[in-house]
Amino acid sequence: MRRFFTETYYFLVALEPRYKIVLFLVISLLILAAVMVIIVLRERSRKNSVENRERRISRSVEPIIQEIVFSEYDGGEFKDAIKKINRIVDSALYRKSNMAILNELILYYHRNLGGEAFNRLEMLYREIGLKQIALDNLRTGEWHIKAKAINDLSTMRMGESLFDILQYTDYENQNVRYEAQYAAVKLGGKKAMGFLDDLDTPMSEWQQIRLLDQSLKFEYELIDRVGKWLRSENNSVVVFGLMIMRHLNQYHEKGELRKLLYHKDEKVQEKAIETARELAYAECLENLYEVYELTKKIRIKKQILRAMGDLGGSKEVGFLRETIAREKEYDLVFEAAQSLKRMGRRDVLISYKEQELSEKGESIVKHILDDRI
Amino acid sequence: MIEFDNQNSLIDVLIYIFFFVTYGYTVFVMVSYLVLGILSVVQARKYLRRNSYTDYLNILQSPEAPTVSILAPAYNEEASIIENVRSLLSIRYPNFEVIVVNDGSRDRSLIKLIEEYQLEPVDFAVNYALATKNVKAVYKSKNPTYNNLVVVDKENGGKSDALNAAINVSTGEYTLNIDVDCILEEDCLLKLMKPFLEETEKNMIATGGVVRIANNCKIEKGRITEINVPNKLLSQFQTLEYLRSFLLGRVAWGSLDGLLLISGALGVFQKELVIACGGYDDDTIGEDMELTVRMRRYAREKDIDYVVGFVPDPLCWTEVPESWAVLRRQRNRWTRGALETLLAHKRLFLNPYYGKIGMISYPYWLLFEWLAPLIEAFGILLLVLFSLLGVINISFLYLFIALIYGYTVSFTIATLYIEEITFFQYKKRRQLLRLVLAGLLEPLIFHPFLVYCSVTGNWDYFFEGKKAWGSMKRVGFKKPSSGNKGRKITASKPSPSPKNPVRSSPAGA
Repeated sequence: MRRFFTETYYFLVALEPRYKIVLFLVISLLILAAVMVIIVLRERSRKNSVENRERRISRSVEPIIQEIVFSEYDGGEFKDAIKKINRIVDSALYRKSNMAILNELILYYHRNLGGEAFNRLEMLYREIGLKQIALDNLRTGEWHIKAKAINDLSTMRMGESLFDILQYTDYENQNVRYEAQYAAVKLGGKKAMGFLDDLDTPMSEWQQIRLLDQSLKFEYELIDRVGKWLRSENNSVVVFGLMIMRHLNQYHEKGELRKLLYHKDEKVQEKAIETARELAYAECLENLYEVYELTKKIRIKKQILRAMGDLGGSKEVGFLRETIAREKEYDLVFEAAQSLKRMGRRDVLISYKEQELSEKGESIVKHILDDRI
Repeated sequence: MIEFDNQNSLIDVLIYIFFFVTYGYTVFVMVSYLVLGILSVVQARKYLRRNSYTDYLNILQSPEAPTVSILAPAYNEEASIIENVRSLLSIRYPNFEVIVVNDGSRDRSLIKLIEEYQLEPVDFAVNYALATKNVKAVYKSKNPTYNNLVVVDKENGGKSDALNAAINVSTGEYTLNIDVDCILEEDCLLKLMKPFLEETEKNMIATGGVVRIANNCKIEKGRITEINVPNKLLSQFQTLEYLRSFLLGRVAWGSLDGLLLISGALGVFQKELVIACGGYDDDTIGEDMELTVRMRRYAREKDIDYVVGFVPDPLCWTEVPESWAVLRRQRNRWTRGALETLLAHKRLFLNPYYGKIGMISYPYWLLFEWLAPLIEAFGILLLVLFSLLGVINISFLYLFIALIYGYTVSFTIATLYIEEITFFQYKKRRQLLRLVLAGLLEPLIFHPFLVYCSVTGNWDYFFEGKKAWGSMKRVGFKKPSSGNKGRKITASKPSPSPKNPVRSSPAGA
């Protein structure tokens, strides 16, 4: 054996440098591959152990949470329950990870329950120290930890954290900023929406949808800030303002809405027409004619034709009929025909069909008149 | 490595250059894979962190969610069409329609659809914004439950033609283009639409998602309920290949905004732009890559500040060939498809006007995706020749091959590690070990086979002028396997090639 090693050693020493380099690389890679297999397997074991711990904690904690949520616990019993939970999650090595498991468990219950149970879970969240952990994470964590902390605090409706959260509504990291904006609306209601007044950064459509989803809970209350948003330099705030106006029936800023029909940004213009239609703002029809003539964008023209179908009268019937006859663009003919149908003017469409003016127009009219589509 | 004669002849110099280029190229390829791998890990971690607290309920309930048309072209899919359409109809998204195009199937696909979904022909005015073969009829269901289903019956024209027809009848702002036999994750559309809705600075024109292998997975009611590693070694090789390609390659290219291919099996596109740039090209067999490249080129030429996204989540499951013959045809076709696109858009090559795709993505595809197998095959042939002539040092060559082998295996295992710490799909330890074993064999068996397919693909393209598609007959996901509550997917033996089938490629990996 010793001789073998000695011979191998002298063989390697005698090798040319380039051989040595390649041989070294080959051996390193094979060792690396073997080490990685071990790491993968260890990672697998770690995951299994976390899952087992998760199951164990859930098994022990869930009955206590259910007791707290569904029984009439007095103050003493509540404290005892918290002590019990603390004993379960207490561990020298895994306390942080156990608290994270507990956090997810409480969040899960909170998402799926309502009423009094809601309040008790919130109390549990505070008393057990999870709220403090979230606040610490918010102050000191990386961006994803900050964002998760804000998300947790808003999910658990920790209204008293609103002031801490509001400071992040214009934060440099987009993910943190979005979570903070969402949490502000969720915890602070329409009063906390003031951050929109001077928001410089763009809001994504996703974020607008989230904020709208929260705002829909205001149920047609008057939101006097809408005018400010409609006048904002930030187009995403303008679009959001229009969405609020439309979905919460904010009629009081019609003047601003009329101006936005001429906005240079296509998205804003499109939303403004949509909003005018939804709010039945028939006074703007003359403006819509004007915009129709001015614009070359098919999307805008389509929106105008659609609005005419909802807002218009006999004058608009004539305009729509003429559009079917003279327009070459399929989408516009289609939209005009659909508007006529919505206005209840099937007679106009039928007469058009009988006149057999153009093959394309006729097939579109047939399509529109077919109620099965 | 080379033993020169005392007098350096021209041949000696050429041999020296040959070795320098070959070794240099190999090292360059290895380094580029490493860089892409690192980029992918960074990107996937960022994605997972960002989405760890995402609640899709907001958008699911939102009246503001954009409309999406799911386009599913079908040719002779009677075995699975009913269940696949049902699976599409049950996708979680607030505002979508499903458009199935029966591309002149010769089986009972259409009749089955009519019977199952109570369809009747309607007076649909098809807008031929994109030229297609004649649409014979458009069907809608009498049952209001299926009011978001549209079935188009048209003359056979191939997959591109069928997709163009579907675009013509679609009403959505976006189109999700899929293969009808793929199984989509329930929240696939929500995840694919998120990048469109999140982008604030640029115009997102398309997004792709990760396609995974469904062979041997358990399916219930059109959904994957148990993920397994395929039983057959060939499919295991492809599992590793897909993992590397999607998890490492495309995620990295996505983060660099350099994707040249959104897989035909799963991709969302901005419809307006697809129509503006002429839709799918009927004359190419790599229609997915061709459209992606053309859209990017069009956007750049029209000064649209655009971006193409990629979602690292596994969103779509597809079956892969389990026979070498079918796989050979499939890879041969992929090679020809990529080649067609690269040649059709050669203007991009090192053209700074096109930015990253001109300066990085296109040259990368050309050098490493198209030329790599050719250079490899050529190198092997010459090495055999040189070793027969005794002009090379065999020991060094063996060592170099061992180095490549070691690198490939390490890279595969690194991929498995990344999968483990990110999406963690293969949960059983035995399955993981099977993949590790397959990884050890892959460079010796599967890789040479792929090189062979690529070389024949090039030969067929340049010397045979081949454009026809290969075939992979589907048994349909409905076929039950004994002892399972659900069913497991197994690909069947190949059938003779139809003239112009709509579907034969599982995904352009």
